[in-house]
Formats: sequence, C-alpha cells, structure tokens
Amino acid sequence: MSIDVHSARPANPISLRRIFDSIQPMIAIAIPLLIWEAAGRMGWINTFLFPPPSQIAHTIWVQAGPNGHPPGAILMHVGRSLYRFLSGLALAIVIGTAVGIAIGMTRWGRLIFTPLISAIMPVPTLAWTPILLLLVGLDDRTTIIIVFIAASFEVIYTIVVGIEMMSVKVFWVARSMGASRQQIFWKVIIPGILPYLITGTRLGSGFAWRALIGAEMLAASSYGLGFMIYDASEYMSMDMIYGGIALVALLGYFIENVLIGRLEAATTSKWGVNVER
Amino acid sequence: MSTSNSSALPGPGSAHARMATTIHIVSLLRFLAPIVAMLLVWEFCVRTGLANAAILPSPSMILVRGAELLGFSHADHSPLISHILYSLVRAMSAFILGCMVAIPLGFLLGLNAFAYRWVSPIISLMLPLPALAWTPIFLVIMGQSEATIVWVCFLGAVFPILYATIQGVRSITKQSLWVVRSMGARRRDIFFKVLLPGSLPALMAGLKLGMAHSWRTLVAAEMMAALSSGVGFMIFSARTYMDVSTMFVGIVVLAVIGMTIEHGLFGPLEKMTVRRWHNTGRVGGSR
Amino acid sequence: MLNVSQMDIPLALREKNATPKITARNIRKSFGDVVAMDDISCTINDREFVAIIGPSGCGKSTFLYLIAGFEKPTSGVLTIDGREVVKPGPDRGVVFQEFVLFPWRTVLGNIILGLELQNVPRKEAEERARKWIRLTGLSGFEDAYPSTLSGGMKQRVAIARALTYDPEVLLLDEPFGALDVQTKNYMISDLQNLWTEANRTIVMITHSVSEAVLMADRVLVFSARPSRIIADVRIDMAHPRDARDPMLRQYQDEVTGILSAEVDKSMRLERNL
Repeated sequence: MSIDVHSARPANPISLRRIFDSIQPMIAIAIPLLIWEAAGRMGWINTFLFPPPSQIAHTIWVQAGPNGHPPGAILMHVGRSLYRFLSGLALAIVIGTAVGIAIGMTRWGRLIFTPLISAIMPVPTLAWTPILLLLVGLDDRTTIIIVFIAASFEVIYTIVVGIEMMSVKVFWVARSMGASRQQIFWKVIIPGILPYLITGTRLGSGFAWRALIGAEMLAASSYGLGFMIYDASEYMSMDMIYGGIALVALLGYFIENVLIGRLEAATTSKWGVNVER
Repeated sequence: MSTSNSSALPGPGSAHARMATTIHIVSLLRFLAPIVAMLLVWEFCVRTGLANAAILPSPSMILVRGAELLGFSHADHSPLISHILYSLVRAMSAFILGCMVAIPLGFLLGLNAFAYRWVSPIISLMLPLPALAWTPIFLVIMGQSEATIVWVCFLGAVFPILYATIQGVRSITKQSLWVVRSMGARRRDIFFKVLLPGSLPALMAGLKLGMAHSWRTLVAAEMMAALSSGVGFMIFSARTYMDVSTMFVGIVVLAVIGMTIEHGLFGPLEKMTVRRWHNTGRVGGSR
Repeated sequence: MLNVSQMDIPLALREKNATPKITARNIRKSFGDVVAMDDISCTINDREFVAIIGPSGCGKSTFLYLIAGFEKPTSGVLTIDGREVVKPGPDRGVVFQEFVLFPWRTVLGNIILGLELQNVPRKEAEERARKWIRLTGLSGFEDAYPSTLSGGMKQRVAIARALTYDPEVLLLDEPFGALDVQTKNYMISDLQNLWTEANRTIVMITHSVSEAVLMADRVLVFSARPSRIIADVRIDMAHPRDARDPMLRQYQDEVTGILSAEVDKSMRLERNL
C-alpha cells in the first residue's frame, strides 16, 4: 500500500534469487533435521528415543517395500487411512450439503437442525469413539463415522454462510427471467454455494484428518496410520512412530493445502469469491 | 471440532438478545423443542424395544446414571466431580503452558521477518498434525502418566495460539506503526499501544481455539494415557463393562464444559474488547 | 465581501518572512533496481500550504514518507529547519488516506494518543484535544469507537489526531481519496478553515487538480517515474478561495495541461510493461 512502486515492478526473469525463494521452505525444514541427524551420529542425544532421521527414513522405506512386515505395510496403512478419510469426507459433503441447504433455505430446517447441531457440536468428536465401538463394532465404519462427524459441521456452517451471502437480487434476476423453483435450485443455488462448499470441505478435512488419526489409535484393529503409530509404541519401535508422524503431517498438509487448497484457490480466483473465516 | 464457530451458526439466540423476555422465552422453547423431541423419540424407541437398551440406553437411564455418578446418594464422594476436576486441571495446565510458549514466540516471529521466513514452514507442517499423533512418543518416554496427557494437550494448544499470534501481529499495518512513531513513540509504547491491542482480535480467536483443542485432545489422551481419572478415562473404562450410560454421561459433561469454556470464559472477554471495538463483532483490520 | 487590502495581507505576510521550513536537495530514492524519484530539489517555506500532484504511481507518496522519516532517501539531503531528517518525530503530523485509526481506542482516545505518548497528563491532554474536536466538528462523538463512524468522520479524527499534538508540519497523504464527493467538499472547506486557524506548514499529496489549486499556495507537479519536479505553480490568490472563481479556473487549466502530458507518458509506459 505504502509504496506503489513495488507493485509496478516488472516481472523478473528466472533468477537465482527466485529459485532460492521457492526452495527456501524446504531448506527451513531440512536444517533442523540435519542438526538432529548430526546430533544423533555424534552421540549427543539418546538415539533410542530420538533415532536419526536417516534411520527413520530407512525403516519406513523397508516397511513400505517387499521386506516389510507384512510386505508393503506402510502402503497398506496409508491406503486404509485414506480410504476411511475419503469415505467419511464424501459422506460429510453429501449429508452436510443437504443439511446446510435445509438450514439456509427452509424455515423448518433451521428450526429443527440449528438446536440439534448446537447441542452436538461441542462434544469432542473422539469422545464418540467408545460408543461407536459398541454400537457399530471394531471395523472401518466406526472410523468413517468419526471422520464424517468431524468434517460435517464445517461443511454445514460454510454452506449456511454461503446461502446467507447470496444476494436476494440474484433470485430476483432469476425469477424475472422466468426460472422455476427447480431451475433456481440447480442454476442459482448450487453453483452459488459451490465455492463455499469447497472451503468448508477444506476446513472440515483438517478436522477430519486429525480425528481420523485419533480414532485409529483408539479403535482400529489393524492398519491405518493412527493404528500403526499406537501399535509401534507398544513395541517401542521409535522409528515407526516418528515415521508415522511424519507421514501423518505430510499427508495432512498435502490434503488440506495442496489437494483441496489448489481447488479452492482456482475457484476463488475464477469467481472472485472469498469466504471469510 | 469446529469450535471457532460453535455459537456462530446463524440461528435464533443472538438475534433475539435485545427483545422482550417473553420473546426470549419463546425462542428458548423453540430452541429446546427439537432437542426434547429427539430425546422423546429416543426414549420411546428404547422403551418399546425398537432399540436394544443394553447398547443404546434411553435418556432417562442416562439421567439416572448421571445422578448416581454425581453422588447424590453418598454426599462425601462424587466420582463424576473428581473426574471433571482432574480433566479441567490437565486441560488448563496444558493451555497455560501453551500460552506461555506460544505468545512470546508468536510476537517474535510476527515482528522478525527473518525468523518468520525460517520458522513458518515448520509451523505450517505442524499445524495440520494432530497432537494425538505425539501420544505414542510420550507413552514410550513417560508411560501412562499425567505428564503424557498434559504434554499432548500442550501440543494441541500451542500451535493454534502461535499461528494466531503471528497472524495478529502481522495484520498490523505499517501505517499504524508509522502513526505512533511520528508521534514520538518509544518501543514500549509501540508494543503496549499498538502491537498488543492490534493483535488482540486474532490472539483472542487463537486462545479460544487453543483452549478448545486442548480440551478436545484431552479426552482422547485420557483414553490412552490416564491411569484412573478424568472424563476421558471414565468414558473409555466404561467400555469394559459395556456401560453405555456412563459413556453418554461423559459425553454430556464434555459438551457442557466445552460450551461453558467458550461462552462463559471467552464470551465476556470478547465482549469487553474485540466486540466493542469492532461494532459488528467481526475481527477487522486496523481501521 | 473582503476588500482588497484585507485580501492581500496574508499573502504579503507570507512573502515577507518566507523562511525555508523543508528543504530537499537532490533527493534520489530507489527500491531495488526501480528508481522511484530522481534528483528532486525543492524548498517549502514556513506556514506554506504546498500540494504535490502527479500521475499515479509516480512516487509522490514516497516523497511524503521521506519527509515524515518513514523511509530514507537513497541519496540527497532532506532537512527540516536546517536539521537532517533521520526518523519520524512529533514535529511532523501525518494523515493517511486510509485514516489508520486505532479501533480499540475511542475518538477521544485516538486524538489524545500523541499527547499521551509525550507523557502529557490526561487532564491537560483532553483539554488540548477539545479545541480540535470542536474545530473538526467531532463534538459529541468523543466516546464513539471508530468502527461506528463514517469515512468523513474517520478522516476528521485522523486530522484532529495529527493537529492535537501540535506538529509544526502537517503531512497529508491523499486525505480525501477515500471519501465520497459530498463529504470531500465539506472536508476541503473545513481543512481550509483549519489551516487558517492552525497556521502550520502543510504538504498535501493529491491527484485532484481542483483540490490542489483550491487549497494550496503552491502546486508542485511531479513527473512519471522516475519522478522529478516538472512544474512549481504559485497560486497567487487569497484564502479562503471560491471554487467558482474564474482565476482559479485558469490555474486549474494550467496545471491540468502540464499534468495530462505527463499522464499520457506514464500510461504509455504502463502499457509497455
């Protein structure tokens, strides 16, 4: 704002400085890891509790390959977690959108759902795990429901906000062009809430990923990253724990910022909508 | 999970705040009606045998169990209250610890562009990481103990607060600092008169989120690492006896405490500061 | 209306004791490899109202920030009362286009901030603020929070805030840019009255020729980037001025002529980028 000269600066060609800027975040993450590695090799830290990153990476690599226990263990853990995550998220998107539209568009929807949601939302999602374990059993359904619960509130909330942000005039325009109720729904409301749905999904996915890992630690009988790290703590296999945490972090970052984040950035820039949170 | 907005679902309540008491009561009844209706349907299903009472106890059974656990029968000892106190102390210590680390660090990173550049990649990687994922490490190092629970909750609280503090400090425009500098402000003045109040809206949101994360993480951490106490422990240990009523009591307790913390603690704090400054209650820039 | 001799007094006075207040000698400012201004030299006299005008993006705001001490010139010397500017100080008050009020302070709280920072006792500070609150038409709004005010009111607060701690120089960075036309006209006439009351040196950045000509004693026209001063137009008319005065029109045409040639040049430059 202060110096309008900056914005007018012509685009630089690819320079060393640019390359450095783009890889700088990775360097920032690599430096602590290198220090950790060095400290481990020099024997400054307890390598049982803090195994050096190279050793962790090696273990994860072996466990992901044919010599794992079972072969390809890591891939199966990751795959199972993603399967549960995506199923729960899909459920949250479908049901959350329906409920969100009901609250935003209809009087009865608002009267019925708002109190119920306000009553259920303050419950920590993971507190449902033991009950679901008894009601549903020790299988994927429990974790999928946890993911669904964790994600759906954000989806519902952003959709309600989206509908409220929609100008009444948009409906007037559609109506004056002779649109039917159905046409208004499909041609005005659905495209109108789409960017909000994407934002809600991104926010919800963050909560859902966190809840999934916790639920897997508490409720999964086999496979899943949460199960993997909890199981590893019983065998005191620190490599697997650290490796699992790293995978959880990387996948969580990837899902929220890259996968859905890109989608969101694309739609917001295209439609010029910015969901305020 | 979405604690940042649990009160913000657009609905009755806030809009009716200023109206007459009768309207207030009507809106309260309207608010409670669907909840009561759901409980009645639930009760009906269990009584008529549509649902298995052993797996899904009726609301009345849950109420009775709640009274038992509160210890109305033997006044000197209330297992529920003691579980709650344990949980609160753990969550609060983790939260306070989180504030002590995150707020100073947040100001440092918010003000120092160099430090921010080198630390923010690590933070953005840690932010989506569930604090619970650290539990196995603490379990190996410290076993099932108070320390494990508090450290895990600390990790749950610290990153939202840190992130919010940094955002708050960075949201303060250069011009705001220029204005006070042109009035001859010293460093102390700049901190207390601009940086602190200017970052308060974001900081407040971060504290709210941090406390909520601490509380939500606590439940699961207690399920994994508590030996004998805490609401999470109560819920998880009830599983062994298939005691679903106790689990539901725990869930109600968690929800009530969560809401109390948000509305009872942070609500008035916000009203005193952020909401008074920004007419709408929305967190705004520095205008 | 006023008779001739009365009209001539303020101008004559200013001409007589024209002591230089702000002097810029060969100021050059660049950001990285972009040269924002090149070799700017000028003198602004004590109690003079100078408007700086130029094509957008020409770095006229940067010049103001240099005077305020927020930025440092790459080379050249900038002095106020013969002393080199090294940092911001309470001898210069700044008013930004975006008001930059502190939302956590009331109107009064914002206005007395400068005195507060100089450890003036609260009672005295409020006393001194009263005068400017009255003159800026903010009476009755002392306890309101900025978020409840309109744009024009916010700008009044910003101006009162800058005047209250008594700076010798008032630096206005497009003070009416964020206001609608109606409010703006009010504010312009108010500011003219304030100026006669406050009797300070004022440097105002603007992109409106009519604003500049109406209010200022001198209009400095900046060129497109890298900016230089391409014209220094003295508006030889007494204050307060009437916007419909044909003489004012003449000045306006003169400045517009100089400026539009420059704007053409900068537009061409922009398109080539």
